[in-house]
Amino acid sequence: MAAFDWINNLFQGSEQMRGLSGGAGNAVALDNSNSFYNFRLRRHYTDGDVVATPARLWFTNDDPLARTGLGPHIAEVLSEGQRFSDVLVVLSEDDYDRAFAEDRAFDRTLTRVLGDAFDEFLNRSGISHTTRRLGVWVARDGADEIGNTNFGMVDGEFITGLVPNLYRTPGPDSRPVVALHVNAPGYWEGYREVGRLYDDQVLYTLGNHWLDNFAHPNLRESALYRLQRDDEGQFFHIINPDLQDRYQVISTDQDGTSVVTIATRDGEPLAYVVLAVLDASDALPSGETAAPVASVSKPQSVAEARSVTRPPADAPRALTASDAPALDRAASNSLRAKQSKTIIPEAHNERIFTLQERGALLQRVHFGAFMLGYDVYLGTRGELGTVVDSPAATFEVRKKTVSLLANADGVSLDGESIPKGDSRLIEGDAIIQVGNQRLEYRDLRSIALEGWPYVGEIRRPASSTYMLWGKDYGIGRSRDCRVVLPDQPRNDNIVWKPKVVEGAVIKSKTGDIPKARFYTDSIMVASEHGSIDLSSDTAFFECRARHCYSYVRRDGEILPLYPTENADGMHRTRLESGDEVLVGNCLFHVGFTNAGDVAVAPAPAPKISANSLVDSVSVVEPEEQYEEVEPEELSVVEPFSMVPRRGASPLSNLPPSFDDEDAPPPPRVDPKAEAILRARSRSIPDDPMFALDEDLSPPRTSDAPRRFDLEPELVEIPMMDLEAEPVFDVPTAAAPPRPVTQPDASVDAPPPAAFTPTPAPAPAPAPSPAPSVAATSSRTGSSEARVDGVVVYVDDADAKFELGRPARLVQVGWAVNGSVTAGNHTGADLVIPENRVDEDQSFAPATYFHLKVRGKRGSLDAVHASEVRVDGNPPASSYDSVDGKVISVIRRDDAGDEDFTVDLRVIEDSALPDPRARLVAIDTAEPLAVALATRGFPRKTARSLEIGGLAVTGTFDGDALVLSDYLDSYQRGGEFLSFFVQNAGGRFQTAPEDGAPITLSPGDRLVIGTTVWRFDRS
Amino acid sequence: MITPRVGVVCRGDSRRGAAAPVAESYLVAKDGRATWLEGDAEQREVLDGRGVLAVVADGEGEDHEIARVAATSSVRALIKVWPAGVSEEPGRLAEFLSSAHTRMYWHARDRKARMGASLAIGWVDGARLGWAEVGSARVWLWRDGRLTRLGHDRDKLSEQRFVGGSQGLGDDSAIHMCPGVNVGVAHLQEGDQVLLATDGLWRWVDEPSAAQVLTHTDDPQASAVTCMERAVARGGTDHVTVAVIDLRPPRVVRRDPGAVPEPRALRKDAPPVRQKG
Repeated sequence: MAAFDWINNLFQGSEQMRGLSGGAGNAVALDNSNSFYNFRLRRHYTDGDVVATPARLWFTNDDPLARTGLGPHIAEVLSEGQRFSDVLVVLSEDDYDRAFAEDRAFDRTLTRVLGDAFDEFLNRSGISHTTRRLGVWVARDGADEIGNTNFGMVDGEFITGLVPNLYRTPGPDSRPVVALHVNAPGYWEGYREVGRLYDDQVLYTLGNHWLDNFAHPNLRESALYRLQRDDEGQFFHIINPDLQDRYQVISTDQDGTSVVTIATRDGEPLAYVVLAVLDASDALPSGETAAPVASVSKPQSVAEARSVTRPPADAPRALTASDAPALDRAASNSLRAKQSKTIIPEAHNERIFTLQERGALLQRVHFGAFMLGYDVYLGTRGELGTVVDSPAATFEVRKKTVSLLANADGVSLDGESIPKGDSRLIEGDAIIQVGNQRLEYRDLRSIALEGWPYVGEIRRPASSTYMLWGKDYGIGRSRDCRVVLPDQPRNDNIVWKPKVVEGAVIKSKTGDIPKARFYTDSIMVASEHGSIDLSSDTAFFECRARHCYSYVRRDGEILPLYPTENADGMHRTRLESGDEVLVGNCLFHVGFTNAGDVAVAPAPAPKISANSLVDSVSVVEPEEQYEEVEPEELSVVEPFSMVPRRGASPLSNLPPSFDDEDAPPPPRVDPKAEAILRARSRSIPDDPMFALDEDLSPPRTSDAPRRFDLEPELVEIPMMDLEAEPVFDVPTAAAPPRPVTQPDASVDAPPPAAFTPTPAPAPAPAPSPAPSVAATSSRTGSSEARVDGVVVYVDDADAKFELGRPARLVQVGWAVNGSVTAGNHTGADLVIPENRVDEDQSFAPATYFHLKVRGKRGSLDAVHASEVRVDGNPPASSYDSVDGKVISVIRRDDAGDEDFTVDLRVIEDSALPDPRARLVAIDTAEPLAVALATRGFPRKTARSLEIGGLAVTGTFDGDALVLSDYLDSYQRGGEFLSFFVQNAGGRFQTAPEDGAPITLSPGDRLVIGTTVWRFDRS
Repeated sequence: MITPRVGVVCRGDSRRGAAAPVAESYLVAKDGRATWLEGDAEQREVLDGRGVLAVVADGEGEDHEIARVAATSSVRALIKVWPAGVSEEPGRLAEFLSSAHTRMYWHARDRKARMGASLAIGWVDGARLGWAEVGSARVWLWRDGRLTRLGHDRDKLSEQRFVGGSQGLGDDSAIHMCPGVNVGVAHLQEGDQVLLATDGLWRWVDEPSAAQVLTHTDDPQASAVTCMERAVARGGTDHVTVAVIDLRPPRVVRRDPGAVPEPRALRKDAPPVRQKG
């Protein structure tokens, strides 16, 4: 049997991970740590009477889209490739009592009804099955036979369970193939037959759970030992893979009898098992009423077994073959008389890797521009998800805070009852109680790590996925992944900002984005988020998300694994059993046995050296590790003062460009910030590095800027579709309804429509008037990366508006000869504006790089390593040549996440007026970058504006753009501004010194100062 | 601002004998060259950096060799941040320390090496001093005869170790850099001095005593040595590493035998002291 088939059968396929939204809300968990029986039970409700109409257990109602019940449960399980023999049905106490009061053979009635429905389902689905009918185990809620498990069901509620080892009654053609004889050390002498494995039985388990075929407290764990037989008659057994690092199974031969010993890994025996092969004569005679296997195989009830007083156990010691108790004479004779032979099942050598989901993770709000937050619901039975019917409580995630809202009575936080309708901020680790369900909540906000997105962790019962060594397994939302993370497409739980709450789309520069594409999983989880690499003896976890970090937690310590976009970061790490892996919204526990534990001695650890340690450190790669600590007074000391970097668009590849027509024109300089700045100016050095946060206090850890922060994985949305939208072809009529009418052609557009990159309300000296994106050619970059200017920003809405104009002057670069600096402030020669989405965004002035151009030679010194990439990588400190290099300046959203990059190339352009100059070209293929420096013109309406220090009036007649009224600013004090025009790809000509109108056709270019512009037309 | 002068000294643990190699290290990066102590030998690397960067490190580990590796690798890691400069990016030093620590921590952990280092960092770039303390090493600013420690003892911050991580501070694999507490920027004046030392100094020499040394010694190398010798004189047996960054103008010694009597000659020509009694 192929290993895959073997493991697939033995473990019944992969579990569906649940995260914040996966899995059915009606799934029932039975055990917090051992996953085998978890979520194999489903809870249902029917308005009908299950006693009068047992068929309501198959379908709870007649609505094909809304019904649940055993039928849908079976269909789901079969579709996942899982196998089962019989079903469990648990009725509420009242329904059970009433059912058997009315029909003493209700179990047989139910078996017939459900069996018929099952047969019909199989026939309809074209699925063949054995002649054995579906067995039904009807149980009463809270009964002893189900381990006194009380599901708290009301009338109409019922539980269905599809457990692979459940096998109530052999059929007429069923044949027992193995009898299991067990010796439980300390409980009874000799061996007892506890059960039989039948040829049509999927699985037999020994454990301590009421769902195990043989349950005994000495076996300590659920489904600890599993035995099965394949279609070819081969037997296999295994220790529960979730527990393989703690338990073992050893096979020995004792006087010709094979004994299987179940023991802890440190040698303490829990049970000895003899598997006696049975032949046909051992089968119950046909026609004889077979007792339910569950009762046959259990010499005593679980309750009885629990009550057995166990003698004191000896100290654990090494286990040897002679430790197995001798078969007593009776048992031995019995086996011999039946000419039984005992077997040792095949124990596959494959090492098994267990990935056990242990919790859900709450992430901070990523898209602050249009999301206020999101909710995660908690059901009355502890179910957690973004879609939960009648939730008892709601986790309200807003920015980086989490509150618990009580939707019903009986909700408490750390023992404090929350009145219905009230909410409480969760400010630390807490125990949340909903009814009789207790959840452990861990506050993760205080962790300061690169890209750390998590604010909370909710521990939950486990479910496992098993993997064999030798392959690489993907983890992500894609169905192609071995571990499929949830992908619940509903977004009712997202709390939108008012400006986007209406409508089905979110407007962005790249077009309208359906809101339906924004849901919790698409925002926070990648299609392929990570992988478990088991191709060698060592297990590795690798982060494969382009923008999202993953983390490995070991003994309370956390290792960040970088997204793939960070070429220099660590993407991969070795896993150890017991590690926890944080992927998307899921928390996984890792379990496996080391290869060395089986046969191979552990390889000695490689010797550590200073060289290897130092090599592990890359060139300056900042990480945030700030804590909210008030600096103590020290007259000569100024602590670092961090300025949260607030960027522009909250979307990575989906830049929001919302048209908030009601929004007032943004203040060019925040007077409050300016006043505060002045008030503090005595103690603040005159340097933007000491620029203050709005609240003038050291940043909270959670507010610290995140250079390598998680980029929400909206890139998984098919971006080609979005980018295919004609970004620049938005007709005026369809443009945002901002008032654009210009009754007087000679008057400039009103401020909201004007496109003037604006000094941000950053704590800096008073802004210079009318800052522009134009480079100030008179300024020479110094070797010291000083930041002297005011941050220049572009309002996102304005940019969108400009892009929507039918005619546009687009800045395509700068003509550079000599030394220049690039930054986001007016003190830089090459000004790359910030993109502002929210009015309260502030920016810190930053100088990105120094560029020196001498003829055909160029050199680059990177100053701001975290905000610049060269050829996609973190920059070296300097480059002797810039030929062919792509210099990317990162633009960030208001959460500090990378939004997009402005890509620059230094290229030769022989047409430039200055033959020694080279063109620092802006990559106009990136519409977000283009939006930062575009001036639009309406059709047949003159617009006056200033470009690169030149005041000019432009009139677009639908074909050409005519520039006029520029003479006053062109000629100043008898000298002319540097102003050239290129028509039809020819040479740049000096602009007419008499002020004659200049006619531009699409593709024509201007050089004003050092800025280079191109005329584009829709 | 004048060009800073730097003095540095490292002394081994006297309990292990004079020949015992030290498990401490230092780094001085200035004038296009980084010099660090590796075992008992100085190593050099030529590269461009910004300002004057001095680091002292006290290594710890399960054995002496591991401790030495911890100290040496820690100071060498700091070389990588030198080209960036201290003054442009707030918190850059803290960020670099955290990032470098994380990488080295896991690198060491994967090799089952338990090690760590205390660091004191002083980085003078123009009129600005970037400083940081990790673990038990400390940084002081000397001004007008008074020594002021720049860092502050807070919670368990002094127990954390570079490469080694922290204990009881949440994520124990990380180090926690708190602006104003164990990392920051100070503004320098001409005439200031910066003192960096491992705990082998400050556990034996108090601040007034160290201030006195810096006040009355013109040469930073002499200051460092004198501080170290005071620690030894007061019973210090541990490793000790001291660095002094001096922003005072070097004193000009006038070579005028007529104006300044030569001491030896004076003694030679002096009349014999008459004994009393």
